Amino acid sequence: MLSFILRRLVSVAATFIIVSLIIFFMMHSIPGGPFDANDMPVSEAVRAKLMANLGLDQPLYVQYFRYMWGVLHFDFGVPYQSPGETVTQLLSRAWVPSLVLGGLGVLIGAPLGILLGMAAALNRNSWIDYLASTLATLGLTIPVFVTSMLLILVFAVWLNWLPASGWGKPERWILPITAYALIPLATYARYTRSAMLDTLNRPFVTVLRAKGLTERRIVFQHVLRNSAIPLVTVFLPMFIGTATGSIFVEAMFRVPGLGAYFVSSIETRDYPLEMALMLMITFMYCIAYLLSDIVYALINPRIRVGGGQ
Amino acid sequence: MKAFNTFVGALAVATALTIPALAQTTIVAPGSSTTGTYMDYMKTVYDRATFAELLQVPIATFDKEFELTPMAAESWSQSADGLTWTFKLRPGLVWSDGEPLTATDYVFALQRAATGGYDFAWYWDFAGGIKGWKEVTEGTADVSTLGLKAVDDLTIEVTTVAPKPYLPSVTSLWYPVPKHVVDKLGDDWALNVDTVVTSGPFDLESWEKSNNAVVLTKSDTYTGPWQAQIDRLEVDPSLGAPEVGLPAFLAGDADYSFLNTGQVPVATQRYPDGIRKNAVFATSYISYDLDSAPFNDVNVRRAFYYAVNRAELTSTVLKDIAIPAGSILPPGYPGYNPDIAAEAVFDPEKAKQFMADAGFPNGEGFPEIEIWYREEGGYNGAIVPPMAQYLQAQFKDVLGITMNIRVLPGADWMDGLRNKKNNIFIAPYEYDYLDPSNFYGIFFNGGRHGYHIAEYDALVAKADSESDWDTRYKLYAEAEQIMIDQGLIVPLVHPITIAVISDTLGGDASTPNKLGFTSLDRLGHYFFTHLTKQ
Repeated sequence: MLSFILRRLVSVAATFIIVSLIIFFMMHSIPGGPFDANDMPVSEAVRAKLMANLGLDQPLYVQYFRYMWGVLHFDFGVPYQSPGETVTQLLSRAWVPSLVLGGLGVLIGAPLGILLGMAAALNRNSWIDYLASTLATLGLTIPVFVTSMLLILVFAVWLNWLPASGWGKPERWILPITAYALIPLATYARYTRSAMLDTLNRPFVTVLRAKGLTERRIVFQHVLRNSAIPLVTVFLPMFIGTATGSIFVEAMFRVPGLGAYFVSSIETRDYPLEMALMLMITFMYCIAYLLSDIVYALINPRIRVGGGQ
Repeated sequence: MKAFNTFVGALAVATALTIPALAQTTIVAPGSSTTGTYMDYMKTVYDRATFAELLQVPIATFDKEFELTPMAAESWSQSADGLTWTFKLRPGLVWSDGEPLTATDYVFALQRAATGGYDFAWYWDFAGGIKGWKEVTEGTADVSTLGLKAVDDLTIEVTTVAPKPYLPSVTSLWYPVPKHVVDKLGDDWALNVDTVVTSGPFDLESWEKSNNAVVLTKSDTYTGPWQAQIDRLEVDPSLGAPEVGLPAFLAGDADYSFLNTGQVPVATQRYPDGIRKNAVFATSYISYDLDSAPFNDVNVRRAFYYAVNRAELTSTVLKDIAIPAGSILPPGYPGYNPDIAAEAVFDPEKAKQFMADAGFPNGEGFPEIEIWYREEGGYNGAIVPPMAQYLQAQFKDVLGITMNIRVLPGADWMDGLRNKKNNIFIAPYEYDYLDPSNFYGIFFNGGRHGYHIAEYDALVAKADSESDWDTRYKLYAEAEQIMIDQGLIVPLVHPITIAVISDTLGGDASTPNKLGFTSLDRLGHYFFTHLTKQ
């Protein structure tokens, strides 16, 4: 197990370096720079001065090594679009609303989705099953900005129970978190239903039933555990999605989170922030898949690495 | 009777004392950009924080009817040779920290702009024509050689390269910078709420950097004209997108919202008295690379000029969020000439004839072209994409040519325009100051498009420094006639913005001007100081 983790860690490091190279050179290969987007051109003298201030007059490889050296020391530079703070400060500030929104969204949506999926699987072809499938399909197919709009229309404009948008006060969290939670809810409902049905049809369940175990024990102790693999596979990457924020939900509900920075950093050629965001996601995905693999092994001995023994 | 009078008097006093305390008026307004770096207009214009300009008092600004009004200045005068302007400041203006606001703060603002990599530095050369500006920004001359002088605490002298009869209009973007604070803190003074000092009608209470939202409060130290009539102004740029703004408005969370084309009919039906149209003084036009085929042929360019049905374009696909443009100048703008605008007619026969004259009868043999427009939000975002598709169909129909469409990020579009990487563009331009020299300047001597038309340049140069206003406007009209004759551009539309406002809003700013426009979108100094709320 330990050697497996070590091997995976080495591959994480390699992935990290390769991805950082790709991102850095792709980022700089986009034409234009941070001072080009304006209606009237900045004069050459002014541009040269601005570029030199940011170290952008250096050759690319120098810029890359300089940046990565900083990264090794947890210094991600200063964002061009918010010069009063470091990238780290900006991320820690903007990350909080995204984490609250995404974290609560998943923590509420995933269990509800699992329950819904279980109910559907255990009552196959009943109205519960059809309702659950319909909900899950709608949740996955209707774009989140449309559901956001509907939530605002019903709860803020018609019923006037909740504020239409904004952040800060807990009552303002309810609608965006609901909108967000629909995605994990729908995803989990579908995955749980199919995984449970698959397990319920296995011979060992028949054996358990023949042994006289209560249906509740069979479902919660045996079927659920055996159906957990696909759920773990989607859970961690989904959690990363939450940490990076949902651009649409944040925009619709005016949540001052991280989502918008993914777009604005590319648009404004904010290289330090763009790079930091991309490295952050890379790092989180690497760790998430590593953790997924470890959890697989823990919950299911059959796929434990080197598990032929 | 006396007792009654006393009672009424006491009641009046009591009412006067309690009502302002109770009626703390707050207006929640949409902003435009969710990112902003410095709360300092004189440090960065394109990346400034929300409403940085409302915190400071400009030399002059424009009112509802687009008339220039003195603000920090009390009066101004031009020297006999036309090269020097003297601005007299209003006595008694102070910074919010109590320090007096002086001529030095204005001069310092521009000296710093000329040497500090100001992204709007071009303006003070192009529009202001300040002596020595170019040399100082390019680093070849010392800042002391700039044509700017604080003669005494209340007198500023500006020297220009050529006579600039419209310089007072240009000063609508001249804000002071608190030298005493910058001396201590440098540019960082404008990075957080605690160190920002103000000189204008509003103070800064808070600034949320994640979405560039600000809360402004009525200044209690500002003594100049146009004091705020509301207590607080909450500006949230996330409300700037109509898709977010209108639901918030409907739920009572915002006092007004801009509308997209789909929302206009619904909002008009529900709030027939709340709809406002806003002039933005902008023009969308087609420009070319004049040096390469097929647009190096004037006949081709003139064919395009006559191939656009502007009235149909604005009333159908654009649903009246723009009005037809016959001139580079929008109606109501100083120097606007209806006769020039009337030349831009839709004449398919003439267009076909010009194509035939160019050797492309019915478009035969004409190369496939690609028009480039830039990706953006705001009013252009609503107008340009459908307009491009309309033009594509119309040019196919009238000229028999195939035009593809390509959308590029702003920086890449600008790069393409400047370095002539393509030969036809849809270019939007919005005014920076209210004078015809602004719009004619974008084609002057290279300018934005790399056009070099000697005859045009000579007329514009002459008009720019002409002090007789009628002659000036005539010269500009002649210059525009050259643009038409040579087909340098195709004026397409003038965007306007449509908004819905709450019936609790009042004041002079909430009603349209003589041309039927309000200024929710521009002229912030006028708008937010002339707005009230019940």
